[in-house]
This record gives sequence, structure tokens and C-alpha cells, in this order.
Amino acid sequence: MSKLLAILARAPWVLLIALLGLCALSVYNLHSTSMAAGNTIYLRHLYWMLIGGGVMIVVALIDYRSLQRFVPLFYLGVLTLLLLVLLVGKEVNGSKRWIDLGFVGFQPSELAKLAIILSLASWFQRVPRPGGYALKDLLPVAALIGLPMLLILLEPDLGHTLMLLFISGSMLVFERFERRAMVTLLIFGLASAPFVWEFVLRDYQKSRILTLVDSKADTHGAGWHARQARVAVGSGGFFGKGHGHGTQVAGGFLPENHTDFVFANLAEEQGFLGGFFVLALYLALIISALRSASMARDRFGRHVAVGVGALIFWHVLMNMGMVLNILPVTGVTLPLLSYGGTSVVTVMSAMGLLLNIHLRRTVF
Amino acid sequence: MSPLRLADLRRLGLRRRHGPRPANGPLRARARWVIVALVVFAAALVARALYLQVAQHDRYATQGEAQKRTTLTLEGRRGNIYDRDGALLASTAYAQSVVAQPGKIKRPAEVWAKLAGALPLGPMPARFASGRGDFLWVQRHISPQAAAAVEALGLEGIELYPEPHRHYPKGDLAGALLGFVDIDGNGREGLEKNFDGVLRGQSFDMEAVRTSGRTAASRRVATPAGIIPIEQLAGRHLRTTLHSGIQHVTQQALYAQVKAMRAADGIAIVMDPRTGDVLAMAQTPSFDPNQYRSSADKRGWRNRLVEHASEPGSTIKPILISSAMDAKGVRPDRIWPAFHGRIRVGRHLIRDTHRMENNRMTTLEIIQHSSNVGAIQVAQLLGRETYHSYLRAFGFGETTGLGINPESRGILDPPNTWRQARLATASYGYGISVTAIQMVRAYSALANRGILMRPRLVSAILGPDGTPLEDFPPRQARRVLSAQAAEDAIRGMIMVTQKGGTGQKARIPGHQVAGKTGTSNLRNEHTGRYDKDRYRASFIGFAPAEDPRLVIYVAVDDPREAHYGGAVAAPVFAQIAAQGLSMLGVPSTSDGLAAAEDVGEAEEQAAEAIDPQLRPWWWVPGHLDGASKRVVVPDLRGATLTEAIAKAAERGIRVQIEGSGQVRGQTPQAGGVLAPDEILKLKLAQPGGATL
Repeated sequence: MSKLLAILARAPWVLLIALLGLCALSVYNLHSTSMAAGNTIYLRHLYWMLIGGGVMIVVALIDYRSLQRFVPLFYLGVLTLLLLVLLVGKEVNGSKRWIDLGFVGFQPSELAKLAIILSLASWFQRVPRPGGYALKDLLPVAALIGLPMLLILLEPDLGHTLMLLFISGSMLVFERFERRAMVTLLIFGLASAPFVWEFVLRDYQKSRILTLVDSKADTHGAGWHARQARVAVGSGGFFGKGHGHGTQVAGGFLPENHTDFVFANLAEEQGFLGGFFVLALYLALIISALRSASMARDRFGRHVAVGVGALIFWHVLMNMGMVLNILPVTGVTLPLLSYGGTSVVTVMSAMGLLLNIHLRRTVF
Repeated sequence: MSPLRLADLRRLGLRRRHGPRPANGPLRARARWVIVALVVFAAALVARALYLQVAQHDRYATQGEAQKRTTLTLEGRRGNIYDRDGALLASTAYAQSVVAQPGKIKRPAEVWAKLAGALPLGPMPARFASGRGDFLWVQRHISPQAAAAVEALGLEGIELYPEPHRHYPKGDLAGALLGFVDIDGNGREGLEKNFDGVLRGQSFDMEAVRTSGRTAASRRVATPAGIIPIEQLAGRHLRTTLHSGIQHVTQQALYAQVKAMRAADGIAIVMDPRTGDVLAMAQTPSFDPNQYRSSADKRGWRNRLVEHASEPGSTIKPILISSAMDAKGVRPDRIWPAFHGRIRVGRHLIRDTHRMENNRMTTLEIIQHSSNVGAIQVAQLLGRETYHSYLRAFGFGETTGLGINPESRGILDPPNTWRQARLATASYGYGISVTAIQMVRAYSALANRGILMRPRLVSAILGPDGTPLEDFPPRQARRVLSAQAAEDAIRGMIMVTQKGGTGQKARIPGHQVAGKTGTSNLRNEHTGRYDKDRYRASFIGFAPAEDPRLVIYVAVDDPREAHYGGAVAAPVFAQIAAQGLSMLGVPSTSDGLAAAEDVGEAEEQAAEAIDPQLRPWWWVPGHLDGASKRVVVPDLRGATLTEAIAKAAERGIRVQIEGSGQVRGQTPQAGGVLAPDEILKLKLAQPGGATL
């Protein structure tokens, strides 16, 4: 009992408050889009939040070091699901991202992010190289990251593929490499960009990137989302139009306004102030993740915390960047604010890991 | 927790104070970069948000307002079309259409299957299952029962949307005349097109707030109340002069005969001569405007009786002769030489096949037996200027102003371009072309004893509540000829249907019929020549002859079972006239003849059936191409010189002769073609002689 109290006393309150704030805001914001659409998505979102909260507590309480044993199993399980989605997945808009479980749709690519964070951290823990990782060490790392990336690219889901790349890249930043390995990594990263453009990106993905440059080019195709998001955000102004008064989003001009473009609704109704507040909450989450990392007991914990921080960071950047029209339109959600069960549970379990690591940090 | 310090971040890659210390020098620098990157990215987002929401706020606020507002166009109900007795010919009802909002449909296959239970649906379209979009027609204009069934299903994302639907209660009755309205409410053919401005409801633009999306139609769905008819905006109604009963009889009789004669086409038109009212207009193929989209033959859409002109053939003769009676005082019993059925006009030889007794005929017998020889003489007496001015007076060469456009004026060239042969051909109805409506109008003037009426199709425009807004009373155009001249010509036309006449099958019980047959060669559309074996068989006339109530024109194109107007078209006339008069309640007269009893085929004469090659080479019906100007060369070998010259002259061919005696050779060979100014060279058996 006293031990539990001791643990609670060490709880990361900034993280918890930011998390609670985001959860509350997300339900509040979805309440507005639900009113406009005449559905009860905000309630379903709330239920997912509660489920996610439960998962988070369970994940937080079991010592992460004992969880490490199950990482390979989890990784293999996710790979299997990713294969499965290609075979039996439900096709929506030409890509297979969902496994239909009957009562609920399930998106394995969300779990893939956790799987990569955990397995990469676990690998760093198991294969220590005090002098830095050599070139030949990069091979298993590349395989570990590349396999799920490839499967997700085949769905196709550009957003999540990039997300995996960015998250694992961010995790590598916090490791040491031999000079040759580092140079190779940099060269590979730079050289792959034109290759990706030519052979990996599909036309619609290219057009989304191109519309960034000239959004008038295609006002009803790829440019439509971007333009409507811009109008929604811009018309929101500094103080916003007020809860339930966001006509641009609620009026149906902006599709996906409860999932990928949920931030447009928030920025329209709550204005710059609301958006800034949300960004601040995310920054608090990221910084406390980095802080947890800095205090982690071992390399596994440190890298997991960095990975979770990176997950939040890249999601927020790509999503807000998309809504604000400085990044291309990709199907990347805004963690917790976007409606989506798999996404919420994934982020909440990541939060659980963060809590776990923080609670079991080195005692000063 | 204390606020994050740079020191904390540095510790990320550094040895920790209390624990194993991995050697990590360069990571310290990286940690600094990480926080710099974090700040830079966050700042970029904030800057962009400030730019959009503060700097550009006004612009986007304006854009947002603009795309939110829209105008809704409300349109009133389209007016009805009535026949002369007020029976409905066309009306607009509001039919339900089924609209899907694919974005709202969760399980498209299931929803589609349920819909298919209530509607006759095909396979599910891809857009239906796309889960995107807010507007997709599932089925338009469904029955009220089906609409109720769909409503009962109560499916999410499936809505009913009332759309105006044009209905023609009498099916194919006067279909081509009525025309149709396309699915978007625009009048497309016939009355619907020509009176679109009267019929269609007024539209009213309403400012509205757009509640959803991208397509114009989806906005309409968003406010279904917006398109519900508003009485004040309703269109006006048309009252036509059509007589549904006579129209029905006309169609039935015409269709039956076209079928029985295995003919290509047929037209028929009925007019009340006293008012100029069009009572019926029929043409093949039949056309049901309710199913205009399924009618494979788009010819059925166009009103050929108004749009198409063709050569009237012998049916022009009563016009010619009545004109001569009026202008030159030609008496009905004047005697004309018959020239043994042959008359030379310039270098053309024109024949009759009916042998006149004593080699002569009266003026009325010219009509009765349809004599070309007689008609030519009458035309020559009348003169081209006068004949032309009478044709104009009868309304040829001008549109009738019926109100159906496009209307053909026909072809009536100015008289100073007429040469001798042209006057001759015009006397038996070639070289001019006329529309059916012009023809029936001209005969109505004869029937009216000289008074030409303006044809009338629309008698009134009624307000939405049925009160007349505008009346169009019958209007006289002019007196064309004296009552006496008309009366005299009618006597000849009565003789047509009596013993010895060409149109005895036009007789009906209880009434005397006056009329005229016509049999003319049809022009081949491809070659531009007359086809020897394709005819237009026509009959035009009126009844009762002494006080005409119906003028009826019937023409059947390319009948295969018979080809004389008297055999093919006259029976149709009789059927329409008999039933039409009984519908109008016209009492039988005692001196009316009994039904056609013993009309012998022998009475049919081939006067109209002139050898196509006899027609002047220079006349090109419809002014199309020069193909018909050319003449096919006959085989003259073996003929004597006089025979050869006669045969060549028949065809309008000039010959050059070398030698004397029998023809041995010719250039070009038989079957070859000569241009108008080319000469046929004949080589005779004995040398010597001169060029003829």
C-alpha cells in the first residue's frame, strides 16, 4: 500500500493533466461535429476513451521490464495482422486498411507503430554497442522497420508508412552510430526521396503534395480538402466562432471532419486561442515523454519513451500541418482528438507505457 | 514535476547521475538539436495558424460566407395541354425519385438489396457503395406505390425527392404534335417546345444557406420544400384545336393502312375548313411521349407534316383549275383537246394513260381523270405569272404560322425562273414542293368557297386556374378566288369520287365527297433521282362536299401492295371522314351516294405515274445535287431514224446523226449517262446525211 502511494506520489502530473485535458477537449469538440451531422459519435468516442483509459492503467501497472519479454511475440502478431489486412481487409476508397471484426473495424497499422517502438527499443537494449552501432548492425534494424512499413505501403497507406519512418528515425537520433553508419543513413535518407517519388507514390499521393504548391489547381479533387480546411481555419479567426457555430465544417464542406480533419473544426470554433491551447497540451505531452526518457531506468525504457514522444510529435505535426495547408493531405490522425477506436486505444496504451516508465524511473 | 530544463534533455544521451553511465558524448549535442527542432516545428505551426486566422481571417471569412450562401431556384408547375373539348393531353404531376447519400450508408449491399425489393433495380453502382458523396439518383419518377414502399423501409441515407413528371394520359395520341419534356423540365419537341414559354412555370430565385456539400442537386435535397410547386408560379395551360376522337380515328386508319400496304411511311392531317382548326395530325411511326427515351426511331419526334415539303403531284390540279376558272373565266364544260393522250412541251412528250372519249375532255374531266394533257393546256392558258400568284394566294411558298417550328415554306420558285416546261410540270404538281399543312389549308380555301383561313392549332391560353387569358379566334387570311370558281372546281372533285373518277374509294355513305388523288414518284435520298418503283400515294378532299366540315389529306409513302393514291390513300380518307363526321354529328344528306360499291381497278389510271425520265432534266426537287439532271441513254440500235429521234426526244436527249437508215452504233453506249448539254451520237447503216 505504501508502495502504491509512493508510486502515485511519483506520477507525472503534467502528463496526466495534459492527457485529461486533451480527452475532455476531444469529446467536447466531437460533440459539435456530432450535432451538425446528427449522430452520436462523441459518445462513442467517450466510450473508447474509457476503454483506452482502462488499457492505459493496465499497461502502466505491469512493470515494463517484464513486458519486454513479449515484444517479439507482439511484433510477429502485428506483422500477421498486417498480412491479414492485405488478404481479407475491407476495401475503402481503394485501399485496404481495415479488418472488419463485425462489431468494430480494426486498423492494424495503428498497432504497427507501437510494435516498431517496442521492438526497436528492445533491440537497442539487447544489443548494446557502447562504441556506437556499426554499419552491419543497421541491417537487422532496417529489417525490423522495413517489414511493417512495406506491408503498410502495400495497403496503400502513405501516411502510416511515413509515420513509421519518422518515428523510427527519431528513435535512431537518440542512439550512437559509427561514422560510416551515420553517413550511410544520411545518404540513404536523402537518396531515397526521388526514388520514393518516382516509384512508391501513387498519382493521387503526388497530386496531394502538388496541391500544396497550387491548391487552386484542383478545387474538387485533392485540393478540395485542403482548401476547405484552410477556409475553416481562417474563418475561425483569433477567438473562433464558438462551440457548435462552425458552419464550414458542420455544413459538410469539409469531409472527414470528425477524423483526419477534426482540428479544422476545433480551429474554426475555438479560433487561434483554442488551437494554440491544444498545441500546448501536445507539447506538454511530448516534453514529458522526453523527460521520462531522460529519467528512464534502462535503455529499453528510454527508447520506448522517446518513441512515444516521437509518435505524438509526428502525428501532431503531420495532422496540423495538413489542416493548416503546409503539409500534404495524408490520412494521419490527430492523437486522441480524431475519432477512431484503434487510434485512441493505441495512443492510450502508449501513454500507459510512458506512465509505466515514468513511475519506475531512477530514483534521485 | 518541475518544468523541463535543458539539462533534463541533455541527460537523455548522457550518463545518469545515479546509474550506469553509457559513454555518450555527441548525443548531448543531438539533444540540443532535438529541442531546437521541436521549437521550430511548433513555431511554424503557430505562425501558419496566426497567418490564416489573424492575417488572412477576413479573406477566409468572406470565402466561407460566400460558399455557404446559394440561390435556390423554385419553379412552378408546368401548364397542361388540352384538346378542343377540354380533355387532358399533357399534364405535370410530381413523381417521387429515390436519392441516395452514399456517405451516410453503412452497409450499401444490404441497403441496395432492400431497395431492390421495392424497386426494379439493376446491379449496384460503384458510387453507391463508395461511402462517399451526398447525392446519387437511385431511380427517378417511381410509382406512388413504390414510393410508399421505399418510405416504409426507412433506410438511412435514402431519401425521396419529388420531381415534376410530365404525363400524357392518352399515350401516343398526337405524340409528335405534342412533343415531350425532357427529364429536366425543358420542352423538347412539338407544342411542348414551341410553347415552352407559356407552359413552363415561372422560376423564382431564393437566397438560401447551403447546408451541405458539393453538388447543386444535393442542395435541393437539403430543402425539399423548396421545389414543392407554388401555385403562384404555375405555368399557363394551352387549349388546342385537336379533336381527340378524330385524332384517334386518323391514327388508327393511317397506321392500319401503312401496315396493310407494307408502306414505309404515312401522314394524315384533318382540318375544319370553316375555322382553319387542325383537328388531327398523324404520322408514322407512332410516338408515345411518355416513353420518348425508349423510342428508337427519332423520326417520330419531328412533325413531318409541318417540317417536310414534297411534290404534291396531281393533287395540285384542282388548285390550278379553280385558279383558271377564277382568272380566265374557264367554264367547267369547256372542251379541251386530248391529243390522243400525248402532248409535246418543248422537247418533252407528256402522256395520259386514260383514253378520253372522242379525243377530248371537259375542264371537270381533267380533274376527274387527272389528265396531264389537260392540265398543261389549262396552265398554258393561265400563264406562269398568274398561276404563280394563285399558288401564292393559296398559301404555298409561305409558312402557315401554325406555331410549330421549324416550319418549312416549301419550294415555290419565282415565275421569272419558270420556263415553258416548268409551267407544264407545275400543272401536274412537280417542280414545286409543299407541306401537308399548306396543302390542307389550300383545300380548305376551296372547301370554304374561296376563303383562305389561317390555320389554328392553339385556340386559347388559360391561366393556372383555368380562366382564359388569351383567345385566338379563327381568322380569315384572304379571299383567294370567287365562290363560283371554287364551286365549279368542287364539281370536278366530286366527279373524282364518282364512277369514272380516280378516287372512288374515298366515297362514304350518307355524304358526298370531293377530292383528288395523287400518285408521284419518290426521290431516292441517296441518288437524288426518282425511283421508278417507289411512289407517294395521296388523297386530299373534303366532306360533305356541299358544306364541308372536314378537309383530310392522306399520303402514304412507298406502299408495296398497291401504289395509286385512289387505292392506297382514298380508303384512309373514307374511314376518317365517315367516323369523323359521325363524331361531329353531321347529319347524312339524302343525295349522298351509297358506299363505294364497285370501284374497279380499271378506273385507276396512270396519269400521275409518269416515266421519271420524262420529267425535265433541269428540275431538281429540293435543289439538292446535279445527279438527276443526267439522263440514262436508251438502246437505240436497230431502230429506224425516226424511231430513234422520237425515243431520244422522250428523254430530252439531243442527237447527232451520221448517215441514214437503221441505227448501228451509238456513243455513249446504252445505259451510259449523258450530262444535260451532251449530245448522243448515232451511227446509221448507210453513210451520208447530215447532223440533225
